[in-house]
Formats: sequence, structure tokens, C-alpha cells
Amino acid sequence: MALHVVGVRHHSPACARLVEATIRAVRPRWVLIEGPSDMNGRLGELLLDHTPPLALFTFYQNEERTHASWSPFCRHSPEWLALQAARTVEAATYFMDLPAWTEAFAGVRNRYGDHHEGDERISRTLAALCARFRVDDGDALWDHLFEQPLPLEDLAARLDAYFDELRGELPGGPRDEPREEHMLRWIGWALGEAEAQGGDVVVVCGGFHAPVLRRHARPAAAGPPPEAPRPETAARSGTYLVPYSFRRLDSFTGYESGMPSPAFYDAVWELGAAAAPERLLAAAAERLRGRGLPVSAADLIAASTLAAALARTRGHACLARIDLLDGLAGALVKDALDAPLPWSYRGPLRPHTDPLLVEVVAAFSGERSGRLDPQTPRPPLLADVAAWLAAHDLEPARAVRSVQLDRIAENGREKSRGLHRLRILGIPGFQWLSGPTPGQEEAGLTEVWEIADRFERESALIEAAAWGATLAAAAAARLEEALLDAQGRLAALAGLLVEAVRVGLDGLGDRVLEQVAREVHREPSFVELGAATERLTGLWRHDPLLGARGARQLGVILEAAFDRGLWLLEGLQGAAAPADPAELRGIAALRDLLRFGAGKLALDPARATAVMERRTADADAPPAVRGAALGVLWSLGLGHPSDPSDPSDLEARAVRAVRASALPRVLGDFLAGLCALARAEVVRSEGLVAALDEALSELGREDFLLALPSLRLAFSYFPPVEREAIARLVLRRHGADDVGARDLLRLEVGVDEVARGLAWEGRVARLAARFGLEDALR
Amino acid sequence: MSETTQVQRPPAEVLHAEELARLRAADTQDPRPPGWQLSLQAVRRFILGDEKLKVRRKFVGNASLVDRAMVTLATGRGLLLVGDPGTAKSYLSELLAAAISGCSTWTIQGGAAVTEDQIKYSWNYALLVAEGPTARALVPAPLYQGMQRGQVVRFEEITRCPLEVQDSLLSVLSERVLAVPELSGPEAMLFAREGFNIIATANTRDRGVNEMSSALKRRFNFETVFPIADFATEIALVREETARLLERSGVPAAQDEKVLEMLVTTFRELRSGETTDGQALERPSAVLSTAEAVAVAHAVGVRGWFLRGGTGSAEDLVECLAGTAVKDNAEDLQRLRRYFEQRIRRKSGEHWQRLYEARHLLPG
Repeated sequence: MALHVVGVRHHSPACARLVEATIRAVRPRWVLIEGPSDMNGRLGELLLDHTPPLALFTFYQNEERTHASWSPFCRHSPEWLALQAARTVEAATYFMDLPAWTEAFAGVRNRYGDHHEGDERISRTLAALCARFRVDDGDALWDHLFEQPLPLEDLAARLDAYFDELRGELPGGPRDEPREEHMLRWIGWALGEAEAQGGDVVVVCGGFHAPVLRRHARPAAAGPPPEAPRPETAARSGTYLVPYSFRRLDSFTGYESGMPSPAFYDAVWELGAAAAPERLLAAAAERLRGRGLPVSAADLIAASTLAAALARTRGHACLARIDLLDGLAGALVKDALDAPLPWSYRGPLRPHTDPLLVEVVAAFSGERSGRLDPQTPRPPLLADVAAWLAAHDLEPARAVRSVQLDRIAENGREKSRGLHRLRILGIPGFQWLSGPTPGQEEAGLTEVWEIADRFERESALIEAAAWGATLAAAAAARLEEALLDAQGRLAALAGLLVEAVRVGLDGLGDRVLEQVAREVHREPSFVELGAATERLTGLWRHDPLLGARGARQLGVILEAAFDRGLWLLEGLQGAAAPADPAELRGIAALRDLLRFGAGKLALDPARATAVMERRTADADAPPAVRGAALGVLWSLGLGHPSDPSDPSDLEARAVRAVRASALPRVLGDFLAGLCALARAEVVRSEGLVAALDEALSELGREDFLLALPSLRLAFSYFPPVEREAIARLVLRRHGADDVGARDLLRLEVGVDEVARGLAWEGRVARLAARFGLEDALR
Repeated sequence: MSETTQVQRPPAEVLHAEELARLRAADTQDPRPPGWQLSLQAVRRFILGDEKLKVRRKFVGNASLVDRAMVTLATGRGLLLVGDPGTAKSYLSELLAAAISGCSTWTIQGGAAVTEDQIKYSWNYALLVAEGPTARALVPAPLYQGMQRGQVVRFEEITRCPLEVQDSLLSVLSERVLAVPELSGPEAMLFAREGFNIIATANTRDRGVNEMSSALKRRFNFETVFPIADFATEIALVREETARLLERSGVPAAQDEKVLEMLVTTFRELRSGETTDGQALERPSAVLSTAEAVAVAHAVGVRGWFLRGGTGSAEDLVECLAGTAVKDNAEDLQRLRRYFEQRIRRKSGEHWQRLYEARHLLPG
């Protein structure tokens, strides 16, 4: 009886080689693999005639949390090879790790990522190792130490030494301990069996766990194999196989990501470390040329010469991934870069990355998608969708039929959500013809759909099953991905959030919303941000489909938008900039958010007040922004910190400000800002109307014409009734009867003509003055 | 060594002479490119450090950048290091030259007034008048020297030179030969010896590389040097370098860790245009390099000690920051104010609040 623990890095072809060779050489009777032990009854499904990459998808939902995660396999995964080799030697094979839905994996999306690198102690050790070997990061170090051609014994010894150094005597984190305990139970059971019956045990696990498993493995007393924890009966959960792709495998970020560049390591597995670089060089060239980017034969020769020289310098017998990438960068980049080389950091590509490098990285990532054996049990999504369609009487028939839904009715709302979910998943046969946009109070609530039977529906559903097991979960996951992909384009984000409301926000993960909030923090344009804020505030306040949880989630985004909005507002500059109605709408959106969200959302009124105060007082700010900032303070009654309670103080300030702004180029813009934000207050304030009247009377004819366009904008914010009220105030000031106020508002001719007339009059007066005829005109 | 202690700043080959000697003695296995004093592996150890040979790590940037730079030089192409000011481009070029040629002093400092004869050669006019153009009368400039001896020539701030002066390097880079038309016979052509190469640096802030002729661009391999990516690495470097400067200025007080943290954080945030928690902000146009951070940390320490006999405070930091990050640019000042009002204010921690409260010390 012997125990062989092979500590691996997931998706490493070198480790896959070692695992396969070990199992073939040892011919163990038991093979235990790091994988979800609740799959043990169904390992046969994994051994069907699939084409990797594929993944075990696990979902879980109870009242507190939802969870969806993937355990991806490609053909060079050590775990995948362990399964295949174990079958060849007819060993009893088991997954020995906790199921993916247990607490130990909460929040984890990729079981086979490099999670332990998130541990600070580990990352310190890793940094020290990188410095010692003079390489940039863990990936370069891994390639340097393990992915070069190496006799298997040396590889095994090196791996053990490496993981021993990395883990040392460290206890596992709170997530590792229960997992290692579970794995040890399995190993104990297998060792017990082996002691009784003879035979060896091979354990394939993440290298980080290997030292611990090796140290603490003890044969257990004879008994049945350990049982996987079962989800409580109230929870919905399941695990099934889905096709996967290199692109998705490479799109996990941070510590969720594993080995990068799957296409490169796939080639290493297929052709060996010596021949793989050539294929990737060709793939990169093909991809670049396919995108119309210039790559000459000379460039490719230079790239491979440089890569070879780099490999020699770094002591590599074959080109490592980083050698080839560095060689390509050296040969292709012919100018200063605006962003670091993509392989010098983890995470999504930085903005301004050289397009050539973007394509190179994509070529190394690869396009391959997996395919499942036709006998694989159907993912539950198909049954879920069929059941849902039947229950709501929406089953597609051969004849196209049209369906009308009322979203206010309980039944209609449910149907609408489901159909939108199908649409978001791209399932053919469900077409949305018309319907309201959420968040708009006045919109109607009827939707029209067209439903048809399409033969592509089933294959589309199998593909969509990779997103989730139920229609709701899959649509939510698909939206999450789209939100993450939108990368800071706020208009797109707001659109997607509207989609999310259509399908019900409940399933959307907090992680994604945090991500969206982060993107909001990067929005550079105040106008864009204002438009999105306006849209989302409306949605948040009015939409009947938004549940309590949805409101909370949307609130997080709105909080971020508010914060960003204040920041951007302070950046609007230009004392001569004309009033921009879009900017004023943005300021109004922020004001409304503060007005309706205070108390419910984490908005900081003190900070908003401070920003508005500073903007009001800033001589370099556009006049409209100054007026609008004052309007915000006035309309919300946010006074000067010294005396916040006295509203007349604000009115007095507004009056003073109007007097101070009574310059022809400034007045109209300032008023536009003030009226856009504090319409009701302006109408009610006799003092302000008086000041305004004075200011206007004092303007000369020329000056008045100069101020006219922006004055018109300012008054356009008042509806006719309020304009009439102002007119009344003005008439009374001049001692006239206010009955005729309405007539003042009704002009027989257009404003442009009046302006032209005034201009003509001015010229006539000047001409008259030249000839000493002023008196004649009186 | 007594001579070097008199020198304000000895060149790298003198400062690290012992390390270089140790590396040379141990450098027996790996092949050396023709004309090189060390193998690539030994150059790598010299720059990136080696515990066994007790060689200190000198360049904290990417290791792979150093690899690519060496390979470029070994394959006989010119190396052009580009990047923001203060990203240690010149330092790296000095280290490379010292390790490869044992000499980092064949340096041309680019500028608007640089002429061809300051790069190639000029004449001793007394001899020229007395003997006519002879090899004796020729006064070699750095490029001539480097070609003649087979050593690396450094060209600092190449893009600040007039374009025609830049282009005078074309034939040297491609043909590896320098014509001296005034002389005749074999002396009329100077063929570069093995080991000669050029490391140029250019900074992206002033003229940048856009105006450089494409013929010259083609003859260089570009390497962009980025600011230090990792917070811990940068703060360690600033701490270490500042300690050295403070010691030289006779300041015995240790640096305040909190002030150092705030300094490096503000520099990184303003430089990258993004706060630590991912909020975008406008970058000031002023240079906020690690080297500047060291200068500010030094100034803060000096103020603290000589004005109050203690360590530098948040107030000192604000005043010094204004001098570096703003200089006399009104827009930058506005950006910095906004950064203080809206971002620093929201950072948690007492020291950040002190920094926020000291914002009235910003000029204007």
C-alpha cells in the first residue's frame, strides 16, 4: 500500500503529463481527484466522448444566497487526464473535494483558479521567489520552473519543493480548512481500503493542498466512503456538464483566473514545448493579418529571433510563453506604448493597449469551443424552459402566433419576464415587437410578442445552459456578463440595467453591481452621467416591476453615480461657456436623486452642499453652472452652513447673485441655470423678479439682444401659467393693471422677428442721431 | 577608492566596481556576445540582483524589460528607452552600459543646442592650423570614442535634439561606420568595433518620439518604461532613497510612515488618474514620478527637522506637494484642490483627515 500525492497547478500541461505518467506507472486501485464529490455517482458522464473544453456547472439557490460556478476542464487539465488515465488502468475513481455550492466556495466562480495567490503571505513568498529567479510574476515563474522540457522525476521533485515553499507550515485559510478536512476523509477511507485489500492510492490535487494532505493522511477504519454534504431541501441546486470555450476560460480575472493563454498551452500539450511556439506565432500572424494589421515576414523573423535570444538569456531550452510574447512585442511595437504590455499584469486589458498587442493576446487565448457527447444528459434548463412555456401557455407552435401581455396583471408580468429572459439568452423564436420602456411613468404597459417554433431552439438552449440551470438564473448570468463587458460605457450600462429590470433584478449578483458601480466611477462625461442618472433615478422611483431587492441593488449604482456626478460637476470650467441644457439636466438629475434618495440611499448632503457652494462662488465656473448650483441649494433649502434654517437667506443670496450677474453675456446663462433648477422658487419670489426686472431694464438695446438667446432658454423652463405669474408681478411693479398679463405672453409675431425689429430700430436710431434727428423719432 | 569619495556622484562602474569584479570572476559558463565584458546572464544579475554573489538589486522595474533590452543590444540593434520622466530610464541605461562595456560615461546629453560635432568629433584648432587635418588634431566626441573602443554610447533625451542632428545617427546605426571626410587613407573611415551600440532615452512629456524620423525609428527597438506598478515596491524604494538623502542632509529623525504612505498614495493616484478604489480623476500635467516623490519626501523631512526638530507632518506635505504637483499651472492647482476637496476628504484615517484640513496651505 502506498500513497502518491501529485500536487498540480490546474490547467498546466506539465502537471497533466506528470499525472498521466504517474497513474500509468503506479497502476493504483484508487484515484482521488480534486473535484466536487457530489458528482461521484455521475462520473460516467464525464467519460463520454466529449470534446473539451467543457465545464461542470453548479448552481445553488436558497433564501440567503445564489451561487453559480464552473469547474472547467480542457484536454490538458491534470484532473481531466487523471479521469482518463484512471479509466485505462481500471482504478476506482472519485472526486474528493467539497461540492461547489458549499460555503467554502461562496463567491468563487472558477473552482480551478489560482485562489491561494490572494493570500497575503503566499503572495509575499511568491514575490520573493520571483525576485530570486529574476522574473516578473508568478506566471513567468511557473513557465520558467515547470513548463520547460524536464524529466518527470525532476518535474515531480521541483513541484513538491515549490509547493512546500509556497505553503510551508501555513494553516489554510477559512475556506481551505473544511476542504482539506473533506479531502483527508476521502484519502483516509481509500488508504483504509488499500490496507485491507492491497493496492496503491493516487491523489491529484492543487499543489497548495498537497503538503498538508501528504502530512496528515492516515488510513481510516474500514467503512463506507465519505458522503458529500447535501444541500438543505429548501435549496435548489444541481451540477451538470456544459460546453465551454477558451475565451471564457481566459476571461476570469484576478485570482479567479488560472493559467493564461489556453491556446498556447493546448499547443504545448498537443505538439510539445518545442513545436508549440511556432504554431502560436503562425496563429498570431494570421489573426493580425485577418484584422488588417500589418505584419511582414521580416517582423515574424525578427520576433522569432528575439524570442529565441530571450529564451537563451533566461535559460530556457524551448521558447516559453513569455519569451514568445516578448519577442512579438519587440518586433511589432515600433513606437512608445501608452499602456503596459498586457502580460505584465493580471486582469482585463488596460485602456489604450496597443491594438497589435490586443490581437496577439487574443490569438494566445484561442477561439476553441467544446462539444458535448450527444448522450450527455440534457441540462435542466431545457426542462425548465419547456415547463415554464407550458405553464404559461406560451409553447411555440408551427404557426407563428402573436401574444399580448398586460404587465400590470400578475400573470402578464410573469410572462413578460420569462419572454424577456428568453430574448436575452438569444433563444430563437421569441420576438419582442413592442412594449414600454421601464422607468417612464407615462408609458403604456402592454407588450406584444411573436412566438414561433424554430428548430435551432434546442441547440441554443443547450449552449445557454452554460449560463444557468433555470431560465431566471441563466438570463441573470448572461446579463451579468454583458454588464461586465460594457466596461464603463455608461449608456450601455444604463440600457443593460433597464434590461435587468425587465427580467427581474433578483438574480443579479452583488459582485456585478459593484463592478458597474466601479465603472460609474470612471465615467469622464458629466452629460452622459447625468443622462444615465436621470434614467436610472426614474426607474428606481417609479417602475412597478422593481422589487425591494432590485431597488436596493439599483441604489448602489445610484450612490456611485451621485458621487461621480459631484466630482464631474466640479470639473466643469469656462467662465465664458454658454449654458448647455444637457449639463443643466445632469445637475437636475443629481438634485432629484438627492431630493428623493436622501434617507434611503447613502448620499452625503453635506458634501453636495459643499460642492454647490463652491460652484456658486467659483468665478471660473460657467455662469449657467453657477446659477444651477445656487438653484440646487435654493430648491432643496440647503443653506449656508452658518444658517441652514433660514430660507429667506437663500432668496436674498439669489437676488444678490442676479444683481451681480447683470452683465449682458452672463445674465441669461446664469438665469438659465437658476431657473432650470429652482423654477418654483423663482416664480414665488417677488424680490427676485424685481431684481431681474431691474437688471433687464438697465440693459441697453444692444446688450439685451446679446443676452436674448440665453434669456429665452431661461424662460423656457417655465410653463405658460408660471410665465403669466411672472408677467403679473412685473406689471404690478410698474403700476399697470395685471389683468393684461396673459396678453403679454401672446405675441402675434415670433420672437426672432421681434429681435430683428429691435435691431432695425436700433440702426434707425443711430442713423437719426448721426443727422441730429433724435427728437423727430420721439 | 579615496578618489571616488570626493566625487559627488561616481558613475555606476566605479560605484559598483566590486560587484562587477565578482560577477566577472564568476562569469565563466555563459557565452559573452562579442565585445561585451559580461555575459547576458551576468548583466542580468548585476541589474536585477543575485543573493549568492551578494549583488544588490538596482532596478526595481520589470525583469522582462531588462531581458528585452539586453537582447536588443546583443543582437546589434539600437535601444530606445521611452517613458515618463523619472521612470529610471537614464539609470537603466547607465547600468546597462556599465555592465556591458565597463564604462557608462560616453554620454551625449540631448538638447536644442546640440550639434553634430558634439556627438561625433571636433578639432583642436591650434593643431589643425599647425598640421592640417590629422588624427592628432581630431578631438573625439562620445560617439567616436564608443565606436573606436567598442563600447556602449548613451544618448540622453535624444528627441530634444534637432531632427537633422538625430538623423546623423542613421549611418552609424545601420552601417556601423563613421566617415571622417577631412582625413584620408584608413583614418577616413572609423569602423565600429564589436561591443559598440547606442542606448538612447526619450521622454514622452516633452517632444516625445512622434517627430522622430521613421528611418531612425526603424533602427531602434523601442522599450517603454512604466512607473512602478506595485505600491509596496514603490513605497519601499521611496523610503530607502529618502533615508539616504536625509542622512546626507544631516537629518537624524526617522520618516513618518503615515506621511510617506500619504505621499506615495497621492503621487500614484494623481499620476495614474485613478484613486486606489478605482475612481477616475484628471491627471495634472506636472511630472509625478517616483524620483519626484523622493524629492518631496526629502523636502518634507528636512522641513520637519529644521523647522520643528521632528518628523515631517501632513502640513509640510501639502506645502511641498503644491510646489511639485502644481508648480505655476493654474489648471493643475484647480485639479489638486478638487482632489483634496472630494477625494482626500473621503479617505478614512486620522492622518488623511489632517492632510485634508491642511488644504488651506495650497497656494492661491
